[in-house]
Amino acid sequence: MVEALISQVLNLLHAYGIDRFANAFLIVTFSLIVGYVLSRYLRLWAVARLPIEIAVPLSRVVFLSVIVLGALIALRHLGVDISVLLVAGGVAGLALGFAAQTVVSNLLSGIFLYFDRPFKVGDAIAIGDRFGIVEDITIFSTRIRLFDGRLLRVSNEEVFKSNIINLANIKARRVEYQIVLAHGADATKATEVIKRVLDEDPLVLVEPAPLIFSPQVTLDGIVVTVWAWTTAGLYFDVWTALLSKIREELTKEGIKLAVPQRIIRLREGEGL
Amino acid sequence: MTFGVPFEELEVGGYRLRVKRAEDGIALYSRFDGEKEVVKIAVDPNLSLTVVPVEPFLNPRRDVVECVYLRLDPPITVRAGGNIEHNTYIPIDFAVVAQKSGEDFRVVDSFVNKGVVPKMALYGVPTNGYICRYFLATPLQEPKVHLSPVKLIINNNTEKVATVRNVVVPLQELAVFYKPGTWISYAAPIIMNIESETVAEISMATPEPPSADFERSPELPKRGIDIVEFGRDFIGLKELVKFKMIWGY
Repeated sequence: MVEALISQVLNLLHAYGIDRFANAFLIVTFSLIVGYVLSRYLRLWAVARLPIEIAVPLSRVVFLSVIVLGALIALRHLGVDISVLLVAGGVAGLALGFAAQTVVSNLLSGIFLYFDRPFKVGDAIAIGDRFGIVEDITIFSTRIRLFDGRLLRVSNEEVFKSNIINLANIKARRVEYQIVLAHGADATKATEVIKRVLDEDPLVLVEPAPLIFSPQVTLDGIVVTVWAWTTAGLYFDVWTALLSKIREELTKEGIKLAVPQRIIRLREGEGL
Repeated sequence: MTFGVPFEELEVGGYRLRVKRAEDGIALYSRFDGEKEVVKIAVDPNLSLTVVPVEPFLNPRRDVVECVYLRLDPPITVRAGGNIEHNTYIPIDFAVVAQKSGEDFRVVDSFVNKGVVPKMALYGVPTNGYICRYFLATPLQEPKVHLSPVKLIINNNTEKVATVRNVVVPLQELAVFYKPGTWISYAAPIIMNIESETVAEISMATPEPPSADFERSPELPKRGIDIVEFGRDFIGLKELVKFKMIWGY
């Protein structure tokens, strides 16, 4: 009796297609639950391992993907031909992909940069010919406070492609100069003066020992190359102060520095 | 006037120090190089100023130095399995400390002996080394105000004769004492255990004053370093147990 009643109800539902709606509803509900649980666990896992800027969007993408998948299956149960939707979605995705190429590229670069970790916030870095302190690293871009005070936003794609020098993870740096003496200047005496300046500067390291290369005679003058090491944090202070000190001491000792000059010969009978 | 005694006028390390009460009630501390005033600082008149010897990390830059690098002159050769005690010096910095008795203190000025250039050296490689205060350590002779006598105990635990040319001591391990009322200072002995051709352990003897009338110099915050092991990066221990030097015979 009961079985016959259930059978009649099912036949009725089937006749009106209500069972398909129920199935579709169940599929969507199930996908919502699965998507929520999956994204929840993924977020917990990712937050502990990845920056928040990556972890949160990643969990959202997973949640939305599960919902979309569930919705497509539900539509199929309702008799909708999803192949048309997939083709349309594919075309739309392609168009969106082209449009969002830069965005996606920056996003992926941001993720790769996170794993590569060439620098961290607070590091002094050089990207190409730009020097500064890293202020922020987001999923799409990196913000650098340049040494002149300006804030530079560099897309992660550009950062990823660039040659990066991290100046923060070093203890000592080498200061290099090429001092050009005037032709005829006493190069031996100049070398002694430079050595004395280096020895008397407390910020020039004893080891690695400073090097003063043998003077080279060039068209511009006598070139003396100087290498001296200092602590990385004091590099710019030393670089500027030491050069002034060397020039000052050389001048004091009567050693002439080269000045740019050009000799012009005039042919006889020709004026300027 | 000497180490650890409040002063109003004092000559040390080639400089003249003076504390002068100004009319508005504050005290003015000045350091003179000859007639030239090179440092001038206003100080609360309730604080007394004393000069004490401290470990050599305040000069040339306080925020940079991590270790003391002693270049032994001459180098010391130790027989296999043998040990040797060598008396030498370590440099000290003169610290002018402002303090009200028993309370917190502040270093208001620091300097080295006039004419001495406090040089630094890199121990290790530029990417992973230590910035050290460099000192050419000669055998102990007559006492010098700007240098503390220190005993270097070298234990050669290897089966080969070893020649020690340099010793790198982390700053946390150094302890300097002084005898108030005199210019006498003293550093706790440095122990170097040579373990192999490449590794030597550096530690300090328990920092105890040589006699009851010595006082320990104020312990100032220093740049800490972690343990380093041969062939490995820093392993990140916060508390320093032993410092391992990478060296060579």
